[in-house]
Amino acid sequence: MTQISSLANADGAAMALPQTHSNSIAVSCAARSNLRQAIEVQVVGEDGAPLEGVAVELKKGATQVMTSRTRLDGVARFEPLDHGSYEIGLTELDAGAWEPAGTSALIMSTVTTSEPDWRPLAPTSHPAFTHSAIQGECIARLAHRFGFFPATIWGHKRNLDLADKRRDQNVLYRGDEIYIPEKQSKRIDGIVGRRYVLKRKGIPEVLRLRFLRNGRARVDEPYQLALTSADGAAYVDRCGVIDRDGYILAFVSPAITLAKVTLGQGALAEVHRFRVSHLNPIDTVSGVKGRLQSLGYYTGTIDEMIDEALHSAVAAFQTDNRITADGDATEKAFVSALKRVYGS
Amino acid sequence: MTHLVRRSQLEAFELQANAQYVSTMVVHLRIYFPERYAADDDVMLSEKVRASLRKANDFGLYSQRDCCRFVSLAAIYGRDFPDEPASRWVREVLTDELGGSPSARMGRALELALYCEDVERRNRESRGQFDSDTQPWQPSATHMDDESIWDRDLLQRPHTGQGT
Repeated sequence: MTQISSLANADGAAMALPQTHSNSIAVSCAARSNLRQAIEVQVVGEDGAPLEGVAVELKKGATQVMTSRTRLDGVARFEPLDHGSYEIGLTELDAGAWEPAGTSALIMSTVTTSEPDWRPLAPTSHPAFTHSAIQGECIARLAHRFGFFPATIWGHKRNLDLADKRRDQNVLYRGDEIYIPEKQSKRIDGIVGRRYVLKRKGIPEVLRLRFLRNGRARVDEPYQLALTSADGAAYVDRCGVIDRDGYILAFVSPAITLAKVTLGQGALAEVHRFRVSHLNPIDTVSGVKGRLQSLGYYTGTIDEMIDEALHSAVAAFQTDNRITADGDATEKAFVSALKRVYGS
Repeated sequence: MTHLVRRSQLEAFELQANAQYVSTMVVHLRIYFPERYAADDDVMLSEKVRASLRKANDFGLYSQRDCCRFVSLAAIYGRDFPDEPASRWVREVLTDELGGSPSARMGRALELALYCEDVERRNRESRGQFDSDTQPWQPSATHMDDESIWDRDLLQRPHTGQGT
């Protein structure tokens, strides 16, 4: 709390420095002369929530650009601008990863006396490349990282074999080769005095966690969900109650790597930790072990070894699901039932 | 009538203005961060302010407003904060070529710092309600060593409050 108020006062202190009076005169003069001479770009996710940190570029003529990143309200503001036509683009994103979602007249709230930060337009290229997947990656996370809409990567003709093999874009296996196409640029026209809303496609992702007890959905239990990503970003904990089907659903950044769920309160609280997108494909031994572990049948190490613990876990699952209990982790009816019960 | 100002006079004005600004920042720190600098006398604190201002200049920050923000961040995260691993994201924001002018970058760094503080406070409160551990969840050292989870490339990304 102290730190917040101190930081907030950092601005105030600056205003209290000598020459405040002359500064304020300059601002009010500028407010009249710069009225409406700005363009704002707001970037939102598919849920309409603002996205922070998106690089926005404003292009003037053929040779000059100004860049900025969106603030916490998703807005990047460009000012002061001369009247005229400009072009707006999201420099780090592929053309298919965003689209215009609306525009409105700009309501001036603040005017600064800062100088425009125009720079020469530098040629950029984002050539295609092949990425080798590591544990914990899925198409949504790669699309987020490389600036694409997930379907652009997953649906690319050079990834069709992989898509056919894995079936589920949320489940990759380490070493899978994913073709990342060349990034295409896109710009839209912009007029001074307007705000443009751009929608980032493919964000947020939906995190689904289902809680069962003795095979039945746990319902109406209070939960707290804490999220972590490798980039150290701050996420507000989510609180609520498990829905009537036993699910916790949350809109999250594709960058999320770890989720901690606390169920219940006080001394009876249970803590569950999950590695997001860490599950291997169901046609791998580790993928079968991971699913059986989440369902409470397997307690051993998640690896590619077919061992006695796996055999017992498969047999127990088969019995509960009325399949011939032979303990065979590759048996077709077992794999099908596991996929159905687990959900993927 | 034309006024001629010699270079030496300009430098003298500049020195005086700088000294005045350092004094103002010392007062600012005494008011808003009294505990942090309780052990420092004004001479020591002035030297710390000057060191912070030199670093601010390295990031292209020259206005009083931006320098004040930088000095305040230094008070919170420590004098060497742009180089500390825990606050390395600030350096990345301040040197982000797509982040606009140095002043705009400083504004974003400050906004993110405030946001992080706010999130931590809110999470502490909600964790208190759940009576679970009130500390932010830090993965174990084993997890951190696992490159399969903690992709090194991702660790290089600038800090983003909401994740884009």
